[in-house]
Amino acid sequence: MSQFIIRRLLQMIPTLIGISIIVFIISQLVPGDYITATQNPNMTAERADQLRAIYGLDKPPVQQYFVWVKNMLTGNLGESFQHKMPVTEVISTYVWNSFVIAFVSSLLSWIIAAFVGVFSAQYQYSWFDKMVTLLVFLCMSLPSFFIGLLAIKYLALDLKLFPIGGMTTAGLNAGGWAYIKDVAQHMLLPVTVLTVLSVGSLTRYFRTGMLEVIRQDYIRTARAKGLKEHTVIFKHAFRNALLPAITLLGLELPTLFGGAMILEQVFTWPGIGQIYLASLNMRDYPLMLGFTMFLAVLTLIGNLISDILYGVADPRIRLK
Amino acid sequence: MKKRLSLMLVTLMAFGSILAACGGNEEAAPAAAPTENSTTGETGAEESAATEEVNKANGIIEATDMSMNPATATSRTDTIVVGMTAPQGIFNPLFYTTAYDNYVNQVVFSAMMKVKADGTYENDLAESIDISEDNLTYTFHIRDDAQFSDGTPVTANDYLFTMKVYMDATYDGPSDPLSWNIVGSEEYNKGTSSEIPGIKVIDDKTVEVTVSEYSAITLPELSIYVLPEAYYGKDYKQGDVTSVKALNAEPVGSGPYKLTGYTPGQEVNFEANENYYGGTPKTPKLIYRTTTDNTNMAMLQSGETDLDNVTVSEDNVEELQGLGFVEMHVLPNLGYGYIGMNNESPLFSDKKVRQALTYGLNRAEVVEAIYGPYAEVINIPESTVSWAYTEEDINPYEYDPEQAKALLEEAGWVEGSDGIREKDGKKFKINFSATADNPVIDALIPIMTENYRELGIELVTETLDFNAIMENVKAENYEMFFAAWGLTPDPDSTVYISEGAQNNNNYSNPEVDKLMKEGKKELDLEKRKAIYADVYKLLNEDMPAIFLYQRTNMNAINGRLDGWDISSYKEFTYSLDTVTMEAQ
Repeated sequence: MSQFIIRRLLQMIPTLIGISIIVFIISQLVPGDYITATQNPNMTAERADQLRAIYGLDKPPVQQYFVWVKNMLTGNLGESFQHKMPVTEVISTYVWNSFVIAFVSSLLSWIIAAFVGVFSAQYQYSWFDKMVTLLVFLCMSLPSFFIGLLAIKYLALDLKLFPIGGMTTAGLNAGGWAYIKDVAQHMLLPVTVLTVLSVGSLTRYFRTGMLEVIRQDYIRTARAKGLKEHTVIFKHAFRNALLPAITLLGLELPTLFGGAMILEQVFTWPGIGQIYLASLNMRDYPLMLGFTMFLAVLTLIGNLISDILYGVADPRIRLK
Repeated sequence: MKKRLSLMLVTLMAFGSILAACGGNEEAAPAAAPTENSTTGETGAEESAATEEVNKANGIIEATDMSMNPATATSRTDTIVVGMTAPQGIFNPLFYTTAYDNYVNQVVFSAMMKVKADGTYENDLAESIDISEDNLTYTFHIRDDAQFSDGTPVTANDYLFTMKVYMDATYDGPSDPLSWNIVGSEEYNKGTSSEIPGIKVIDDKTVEVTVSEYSAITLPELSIYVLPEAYYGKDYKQGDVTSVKALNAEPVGSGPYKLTGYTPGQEVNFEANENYYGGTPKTPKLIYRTTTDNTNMAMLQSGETDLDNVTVSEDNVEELQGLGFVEMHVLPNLGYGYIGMNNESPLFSDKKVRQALTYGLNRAEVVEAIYGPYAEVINIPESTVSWAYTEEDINPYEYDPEQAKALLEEAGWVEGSDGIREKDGKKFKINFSATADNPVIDALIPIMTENYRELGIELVTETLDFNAIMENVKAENYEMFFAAWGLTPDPDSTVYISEGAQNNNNYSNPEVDKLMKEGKKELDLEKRKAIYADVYKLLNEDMPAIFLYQRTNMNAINGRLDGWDISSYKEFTYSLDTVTMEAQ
């Protein structure tokens, strides 16, 4: 097993090099740079040249690439043009805020989707299944900013059940439990909306997975033995229905840290999503490239984790 | 193999958003314009957004019913909460890039001079400023009682230190300090000298600055915000400003408030600076809280914020008026929207064609469609509130398709068999580069297409990312586009001079070049007024770009706060320390 992991980790190196090259080339092909994006009406050509020299944008692309890679190897992702501080610091400032809501909402969606999916598979074409299917498609098709704004209007502004936006109450200098409680309160609305949006597709996965499993012979055998339906579903079928979901679990890793661009904007949540989006608009290359590489590494690790989990869960495909 | 593929997809998707997500936002551009490259000047006649409810003189719509103020606001007696877009945490007047970071800087730091409501300047940190006969030497006398918030006095050495950071080779802020022409700054920048001989510290409170070449904006340029050397200079070495930038999130300055806490993306907390020489601020606490376009009205309504910048539209104004307790300050935005044309393209090289395109476009209808009554059609590239603004001998180019057709005929563009005008066998077909998701474009294109079809001109639009359009503009590979410029209080600019770095329209008129140079060198305001009036007359006639509109901004303020002195030039931040809270 450890040999497998080491081999996979080594394989990640050429993949990462490939990714870095592709990502860098695309960034070079994108028109404009930070200096043109700032749109400063007083910028003279000389000052623009000075700035390009300070940022290293005047060097040929190949040289820029190697400088970037060399710095990356030492853990230095460069300094963000916009934020005037190291990229790693920018990311660590905002990424955890995104992680908190993404983690809680993923947890909720997985739990809800697992149960709802299993039940609607068990009672396929029943009234319950049809209602769930309708709801699921409804949720999946609604644009996130729309539900977000609607929720703010009715739940926060009219009914005053939740705070309107932000992560904490302004001017609250609380620590410890009071702080956690305050953040939790502010989280409720964004987490609910995120969960509603993501639970739909997951439910369909679980439903399909379950439907495939309960048609198999061993389930029929279990039923023929006279086992209770409950035992058949949860003890025999459910575990096998979970297998395909493991792949999804691995891919979930980058989304936990990637931030939700639109919803963060709607709920004024100080997450990394909007920061990343701004870096694209402003052509803040160090931040844009640095965060993309960060996501790429997480994707690779996510893949590795799901492969390992596969082996753990399913003896048939355990690698030797 | 499959996994590789999915990995590639994820990477490509993450990057695809670069191309998809870059809706060039015109609002972003003026926000970044630094306010300190500005100059002395007197106000012109103030003309505000034209609705009946707006008090014409100052653009204020008063609060009507303070009893509707929510308890959340009325119970907050020691704190003002300002809602705004999140700053980026660059709380240093030398390095900030967004207007929101600047709002922080304006209350934490203070400069030699500060702007007044009419766009002129008054002494702030400086008690008096002497200017030599030849306009090359400027002597600043710093106030005796000026202290930083940590209690140390503001000295001439602090000024010198701040200038050194500006002149440093690694300085990457928005200003262009070498263009201030301070004697010896070039050598300091290159590292060949460790001192700047042009800045002489006479004594603790007096500093003398000599420039090799002066202009009308030299004084405001030299009137910089001062950083305390003892705090920022600890680890500074010539050629590396990293240690100064490292303190961006923990600023110390001589302004009315001191920063006590910053939570990125959420809020900035301030407390009154009891050492402030202008008198301890009336409200002991100040909070800048992050809001967005989606939440700012809701936050005002619930009383969670006291002030916010709300997009001016009839709906918004009506809704805020309905709340009763909100006072609105509607102010002309320092900037204007224009339709850029490549003056070197055979289509637009004749000024008759450019005039025809202006006559032939119903600009009033376009502006009405976008901003309702809260924007004005402009005919010169200057703010209506600037001292340089003029309407004398300015052609208003009222919508007149017949005039436009006549001008096109004169220019040799005659109608072909298919109704499209032709000249030398070439059809009059304009390629318009448009950005997606821009309300101006959405309103402009349909009207423009229709108007120009009537003239016998075909308009073809292609949708591009804003940065891509600007790249094409720089490469002179374009015909027409829409964009907006920010304006500084001083009319000097590089947009309409032949060699100007920002000459997006490839416009060239030697007479304008000459006048712009003269205007920059002239210090007498009346003479400058005359020079710029001539410039604007020429620009109005040449129409290097179709000048479209000047829109308005709005500060919506909870009526419990009184005593604001806000204008296009003097932002709300300058009033925060003096406004009083109504006793509830």
